[in-house]
Amino acid sequence: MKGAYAVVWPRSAKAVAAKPLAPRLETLEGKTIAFLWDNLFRGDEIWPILKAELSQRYRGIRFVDHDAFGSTHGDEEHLVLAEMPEKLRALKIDAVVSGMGC
Amino acid sequence: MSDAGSLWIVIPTGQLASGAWVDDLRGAPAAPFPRQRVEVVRGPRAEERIQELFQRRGWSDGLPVVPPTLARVNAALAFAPRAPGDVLGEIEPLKGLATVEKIAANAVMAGCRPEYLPVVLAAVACLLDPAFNLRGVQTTDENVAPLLLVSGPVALELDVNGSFGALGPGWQANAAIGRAIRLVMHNLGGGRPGVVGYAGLAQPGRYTLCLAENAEKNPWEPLHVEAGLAASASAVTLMRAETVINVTGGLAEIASVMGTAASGFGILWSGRPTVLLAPAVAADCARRGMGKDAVRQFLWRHGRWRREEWRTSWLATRIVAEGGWPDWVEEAARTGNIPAARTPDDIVLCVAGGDIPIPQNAYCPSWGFPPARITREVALPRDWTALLTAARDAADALAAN
Amino acid sequence: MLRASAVAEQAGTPTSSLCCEGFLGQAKTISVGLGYPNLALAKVPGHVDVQTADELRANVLGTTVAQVIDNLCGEVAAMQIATDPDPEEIVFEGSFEEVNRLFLENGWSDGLPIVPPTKEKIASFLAFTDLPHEHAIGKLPPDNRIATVWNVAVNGVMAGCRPEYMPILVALVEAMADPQYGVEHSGNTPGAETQIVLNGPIIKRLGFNYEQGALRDGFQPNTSIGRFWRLYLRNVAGFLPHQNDKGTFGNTWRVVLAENEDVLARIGWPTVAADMGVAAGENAVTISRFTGGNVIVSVFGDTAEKVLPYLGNALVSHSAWELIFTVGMASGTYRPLLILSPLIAETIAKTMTKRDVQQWLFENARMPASLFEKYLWGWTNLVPGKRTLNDWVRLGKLPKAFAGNDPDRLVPLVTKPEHFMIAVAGDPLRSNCYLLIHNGILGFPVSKTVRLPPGWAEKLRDAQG
Repeated sequence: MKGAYAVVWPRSAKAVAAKPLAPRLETLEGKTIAFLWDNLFRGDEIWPILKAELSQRYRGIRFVDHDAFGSTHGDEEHLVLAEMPEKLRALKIDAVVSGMGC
Repeated sequence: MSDAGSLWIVIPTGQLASGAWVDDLRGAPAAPFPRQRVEVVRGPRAEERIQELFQRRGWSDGLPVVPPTLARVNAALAFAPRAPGDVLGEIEPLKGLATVEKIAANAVMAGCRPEYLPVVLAAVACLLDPAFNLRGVQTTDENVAPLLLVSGPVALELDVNGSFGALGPGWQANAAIGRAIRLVMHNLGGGRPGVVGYAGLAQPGRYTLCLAENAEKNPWEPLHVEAGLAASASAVTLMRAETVINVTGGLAEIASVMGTAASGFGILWSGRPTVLLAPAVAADCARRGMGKDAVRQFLWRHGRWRREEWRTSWLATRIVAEGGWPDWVEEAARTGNIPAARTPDDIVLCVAGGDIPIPQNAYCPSWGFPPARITREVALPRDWTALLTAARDAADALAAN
Repeated sequence: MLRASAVAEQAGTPTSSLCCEGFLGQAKTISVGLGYPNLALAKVPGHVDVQTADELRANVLGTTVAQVIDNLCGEVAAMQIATDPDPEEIVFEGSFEEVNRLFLENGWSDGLPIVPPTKEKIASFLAFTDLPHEHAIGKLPPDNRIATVWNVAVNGVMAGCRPEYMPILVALVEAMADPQYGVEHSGNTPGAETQIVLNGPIIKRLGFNYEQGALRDGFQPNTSIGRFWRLYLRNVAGFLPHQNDKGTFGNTWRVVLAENEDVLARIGWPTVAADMGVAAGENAVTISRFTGGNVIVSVFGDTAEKVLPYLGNALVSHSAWELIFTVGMASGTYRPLLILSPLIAETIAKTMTKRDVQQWLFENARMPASLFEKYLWGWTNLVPGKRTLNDWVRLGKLPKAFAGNDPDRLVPLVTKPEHFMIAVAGDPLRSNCYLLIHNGILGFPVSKTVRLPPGWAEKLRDAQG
């Protein structure tokens, strides 16, 4: 074809191999749930509401608040994320609620 | 700006929120396509190429489609009261995003005129209502099809047929609007027969099943007013119809068809069946002082499945476990026969069809759960009237040359 | 927030991520980039910032709780990955108009005509680097696509760059991929924009403008490289408006700012690159992200003491919510950039070094503590806890200069004097200056040297004829 430009695509393939999620829990009864927070968007108001409601629905459920971990956004983010796996183990956390995306 | 014979096509198949394409979720598709928004198909036989390609890619219902060119899609989008990138929801089961643009592309493919898009959008909103259970409808081995009822001024403006031949061919709006939601289910939801859906027989209503309420011959309130909307509004009502059974005669005949195994699944899941009432029957009822509620009462009381037949039916003996029938069914069986619906209010009545002395009604038993009668108002663009007039003028000019 | 969820999942702990309604779509694409495409999300209806406490409560109880439970105990959604084309494969053949139309319709263009990226043109760019074209420079969030020398060339061609700019383009993408910069924040709602500062002999070699109109379009190297930056952010990092780019308003690309190194040498001041630790005489790019700024007009006075108060005041009056990067969201990461015209720089340099200027600004460009706190949590919802600046001094997050109980006391804008970045460029005969207000850790200053391959100068000479 006259005056044709044969062009390539300007992007590149996504490089991340998809990993399977951690297994889910059978129930929240007797479990310890941690809150991870980025200090934004009223997570500090939402978490108490969740805690109260989940306590009513599940016997023996326990909670660890976000101050055990530090802010997941901000200048200490890298440190907080690096330390997190060990803290999850040490504090015997069964599940995490992470906020806030707005 | 394109060469003669170049068609700029909006790719009509679904993309998930994650970016994955619906076609990639069930193994390699039959024929390749570029994973991008727009594709250029070239050559003097570009139209034929598109037909061939779309069939091979699994994007058609088997009939030819109207190529969804940018020009056609943009013409339809002019009628959307929302932005092209707006997402109405995820279409089950493969969760392709129902963007206004992709809905428009499928509407164009179905043969819709641009001005039909607001009705198609309202219908897709009904599909997305969790109560509709689209996932169930798409994946079941039963033959259910969505039944779309249009009511209000828009039905007249768009010439959606609610009179003679309303369930048959001949009216572009009925044919194309009904087909548009099928293509949305097919291409955005991935509900492809033999791939995701395994209906035993399916039904012709899966090509299109769309009609208007016969406003002129309806002696009672319109469907959308029943649902709480203003009379001046227009709306679509979506039902899950296992099939369409023609019934000649009056209420007694309709009841006699309702009180059979044909209502089996409707009864099992407390579903809401639809009765398309012939104008002559409706007029007769009205003359005798019967309103919709009285008609429903009659059908509910007389349209009963005999208890003995129910107990020995295929459903009861081979499918439904002990204690699997709803309480109201067991309760009814204790004292008599089983009504086709849990309460009279669960029966949806719509006056439709031509006014003839030998009345032709239709009974559409419900399928699946939860009980659903879904109505959505048709949202029109601000300058609807002007746009409609311009569209008609353009069509006239096209035909005149 | 989703990064934290990904880390937890990796550690074997199931997560539920709380998302306001408007964020859900973006959350799904970000999740793919994190390697967990089916991250479990729980919706909070609407946007929390405009809800009363009662409305928030009703929404959380009515919608969010059930989804959190389902996220943690329910079925895991199946994973779906997109299939992408081969970057070196021809995707289309057509006329100039058709290529542009296709690229625009497919979201690969910025709305201006692009130069069609043919293999021939790409090869001409690759000739100006000695890196193999498949060399991976880094992986860019949020899409986690690989930045390669190849796609740097492709986007460089598209942007209208010249082939000989290739080493600068590579350095820029190295900077973009540096975790210190924080490119993953480039789609956030404040919509700040990067400013590139160029230093080194390459300024004159390639004809960059550094005088009058230093921040304006019209000069091919400054302009096309500025455009390249945003095209690359769109196409390879994956920031597309209405998708991953959520800038409420945004701004568009800034042209490259080249410093006036003759003046800097004459007054004995270090360049921006030198301040960042780059060796003198090296070519380097420095990227940083700025929310906005202003021109400071008619800077008047014949001594440093006479002109600095006006400049200091500009810094004070334009620093607002960005002070969360001095304390609150991050500590000591606020780096505003003051661009002095040569005239003003020379005036100040008569008696002061750059260090002296920074010290002066630290001591005098100050704001009442109560106003500072208003920006952090009085008027905004940015920093929870309602701590005073004095509380932060006690927590060790701020130096003593911020200590005190009087709300009217004046406090600095930064934690250390050297945090004030100063550049010299612009019309040498004018007394205007320019101020850019910084986005902190959401686009932190990063410098990279521009590596010229052997034979670059010869190739350039050949190319220029």
